[in-house]
Amino acid sequence: MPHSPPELLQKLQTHLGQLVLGKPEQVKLALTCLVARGHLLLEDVPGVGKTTLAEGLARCFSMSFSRVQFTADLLPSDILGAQVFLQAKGQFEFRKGPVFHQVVLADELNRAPPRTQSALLEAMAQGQVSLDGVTHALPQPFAVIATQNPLDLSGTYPLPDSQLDRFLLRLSLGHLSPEVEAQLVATRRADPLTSFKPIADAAELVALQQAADAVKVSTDVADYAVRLAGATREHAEIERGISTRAVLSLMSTARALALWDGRDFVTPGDVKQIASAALSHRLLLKSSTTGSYARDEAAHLITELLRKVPAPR
Amino acid sequence: MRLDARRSLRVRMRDFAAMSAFAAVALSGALPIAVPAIFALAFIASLLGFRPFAKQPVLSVVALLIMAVALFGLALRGQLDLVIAAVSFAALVTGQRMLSEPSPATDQQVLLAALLLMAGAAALSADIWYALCLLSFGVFACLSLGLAVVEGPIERDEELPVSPVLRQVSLGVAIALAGGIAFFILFPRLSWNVASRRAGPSLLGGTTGMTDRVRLGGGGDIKTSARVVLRVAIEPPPRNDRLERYWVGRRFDSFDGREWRGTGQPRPPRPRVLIGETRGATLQRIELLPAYESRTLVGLAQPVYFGPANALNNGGSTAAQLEQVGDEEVRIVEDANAYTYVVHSRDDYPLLEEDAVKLAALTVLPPSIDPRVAQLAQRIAGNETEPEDIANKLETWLRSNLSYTLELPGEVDDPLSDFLFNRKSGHCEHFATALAVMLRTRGVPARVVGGFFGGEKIGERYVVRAGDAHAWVEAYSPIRGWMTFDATPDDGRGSQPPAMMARLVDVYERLQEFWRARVVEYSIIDQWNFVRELVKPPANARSAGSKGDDDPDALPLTKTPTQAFVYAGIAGLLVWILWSRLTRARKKVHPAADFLTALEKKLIAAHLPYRLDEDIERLPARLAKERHRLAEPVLRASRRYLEARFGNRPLSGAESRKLLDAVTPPPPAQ
Repeated sequence: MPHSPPELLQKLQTHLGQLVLGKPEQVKLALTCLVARGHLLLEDVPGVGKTTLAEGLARCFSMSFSRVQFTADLLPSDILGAQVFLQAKGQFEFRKGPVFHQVVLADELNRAPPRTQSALLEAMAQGQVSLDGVTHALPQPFAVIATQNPLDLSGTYPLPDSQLDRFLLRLSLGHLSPEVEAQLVATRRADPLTSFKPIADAAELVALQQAADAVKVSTDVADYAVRLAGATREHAEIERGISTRAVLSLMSTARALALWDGRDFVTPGDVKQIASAALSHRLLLKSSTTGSYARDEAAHLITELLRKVPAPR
Repeated sequence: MRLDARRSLRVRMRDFAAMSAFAAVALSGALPIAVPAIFALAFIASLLGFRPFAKQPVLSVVALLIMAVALFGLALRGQLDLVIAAVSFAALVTGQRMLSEPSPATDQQVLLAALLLMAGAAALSADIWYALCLLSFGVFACLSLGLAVVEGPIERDEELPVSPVLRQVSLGVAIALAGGIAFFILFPRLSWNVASRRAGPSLLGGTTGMTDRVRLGGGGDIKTSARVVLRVAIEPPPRNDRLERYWVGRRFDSFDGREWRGTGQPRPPRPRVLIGETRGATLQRIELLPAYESRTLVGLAQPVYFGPANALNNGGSTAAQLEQVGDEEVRIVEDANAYTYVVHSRDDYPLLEEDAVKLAALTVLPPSIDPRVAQLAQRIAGNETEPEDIANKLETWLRSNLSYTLELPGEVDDPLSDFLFNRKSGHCEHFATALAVMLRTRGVPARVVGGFFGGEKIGERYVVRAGDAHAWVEAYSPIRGWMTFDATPDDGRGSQPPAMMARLVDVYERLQEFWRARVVEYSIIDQWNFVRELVKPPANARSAGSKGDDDPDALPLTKTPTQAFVYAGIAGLLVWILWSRLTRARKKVHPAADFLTALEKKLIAAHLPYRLDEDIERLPARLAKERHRLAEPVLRASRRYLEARFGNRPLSGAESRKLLDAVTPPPPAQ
């Protein structure tokens, strides 16, 4: 039975909520990110449910899922795949790497050397993998969910800004509230993922993505987004404001967000709601803070700008 | 407009502002001649873009020090009035700054110095030209400052349309001027005349017909001047609009062949001068305007009583003392801008005992008199012995045989014989002198009278112009007493200004009068009256046409409060329309925004104001969480607003009312 976009999204949120307890907002944004055809960056300490969220997202759409643990010795071929000589046939054959799944979890992305990172990021940007002159299309819909530990920076290769820019949203889950945590501790026995059933399929996700594409943006709202972007470029504490690509991804996320209310148009409220998650990792600050502290500071600056730049009314 | 053009426009506006301020000072005519010359040079140099003082702080300081030492040295030595020295210094500083680096900071210095000049000009002259200069200074200074403000953020060399900026600034200037006028009328006025100087002769120069002596052969084109020198209210009012009557100013009894002068001694000053019987006299309230430039009182022939006089200076009027000089004249002791006084006149001469010594003095002939004058007089008079007959004959002969001209001969040795035998033409002073001297050769006591002839009705009052100045003769007969004779042909009496000139001068005089009455001398009492007239109906206390006895200047108030309120209403409406058009032009308001405004009002009435970072999109979520009674209707209204505003689904009036009604707060608990 087909559902209208808001119903489906609500259902998915509730369903995922059984898996990732007490984080409805983050679940909502993660779903929005998928609907907006974006890749998700989860920055948080280990053990707060990042992997569970990623795998849950894949499972509830019954999409194929792979997980790559990034380490310092990980090579591009470990992700993309490689030509393997088959003795029986006496020829080379391309063996697909873990990236050839619909949802790829890149765990601790920043632990791999830049060459490996960029191999993944190229696949994210292009939606295809080119090896030895042959182009291999990635399965669609395709989404990468990368995680980073923002505190333990020793032995890491921080992502360059240009590559951070490829992630549509950046979220952090944060610790659970004591009540939710107590409930979890009291009730959870086995790995919940084993019993986690899909409630939609990839075709429904594609339908949602197309519905998001159909959402209209009035000139006033577009103007508002552009003014926000302009404000980040002129802010005294920001070294480099957001790019035009960033404004585009902000608006595509806002379009996906509009689906939650069943609207076929974007409101300034959508933009406000998504601005921090969509923009804070794309700002280069003048202060010397790095990692998650810089993100927090950037998020504060975005909040400040949201108050300062008048929304259309 | 590119940066260079903008900059030069700004500097030019600044220079014009400075020039306007300087013009206000220069028009007072009080500055030493070197100052206008230097300033004009600086102005031209600045217009041509020549700036010798740019980046020359030492040179600037030296130049200013030299000027300061020179000017204040002169002031200390008493050769220059301190106020004038200060104003001159401000003018020179303005000029110096104009020739310095053309930056916005320098502009501000120039404009500040120019502002000082305006203040100085206010002290030196309160002429109507000052108003014009002030207006032009304000406009130019605002435009220059406006351009400087634009230049601040946009220093790059880019194409920038300046006209919208100037349009905005001009509008601001207009509003500021209107506000300034309202402020002037309504804000309690403080009189600040400590530094005020007696006003100079103003731009058109002095035009008096009244001097202490009448000199024949001098230059003058007074007959063609249309300037009004005095205004009179006459009671009982004459029937004619054009008065063909003599206004007696002063009498001259001594002639030395070249000029007439008076010999009388001044008597002690008094507030009033009584000369003769005042019964049945014509009363005149006279106002001597600044153009009159003399302290001699005039009155219709023959004045018998000069009443209380007031001297008007910038800022107020004070009671003035009168002094009578012999039988010749009555003059005001105080020196002032203008005067008002009352005079009573009768048609006949006052009955005065004339003693023989005095009469004998009036038959004295100048030592160098041409013998032909006496021969001519004898030939004309024949064997008449009665002074009246002699005078009539001489008068008739002069009128018919000599002609009137305004072309003056220039300096000649004996102007009288030159007039009688050589040129055979002259103006009223020649005719009067000829008649008086010829009467004296026949032994008849005679004297020349200077004053005016004419007067025309303008508005409620009669005016006398500088061109009405006239001279005639009084002769004494032991039987008849004093009699008036006028040898000047009819075409030489009264003023003869070109009609166009007269009209222009009238306009100027009216403006001047308005400026003086409504601005310079506009006092807190006038303000009080203005406000009182606005709020209180004028009952029947003041009927149009009759003026307060104490204030001959008072314009009749014909505006009723109702009219004033109607005008105020219309003005308010115009301002509102203007304002709404301007704001609408600046920002197009979406029709749904009105709905949002109404909704937000309702929310505040329902004690549901936004919290921090909340807006109409987020409020419903909070209300839902709080299980607020209005959560549902607010959510509906909010959704519908967003659709109408961003989703292009317009909201009808009925629907918006319905949505708004649903958000109505609960009635207060009983």
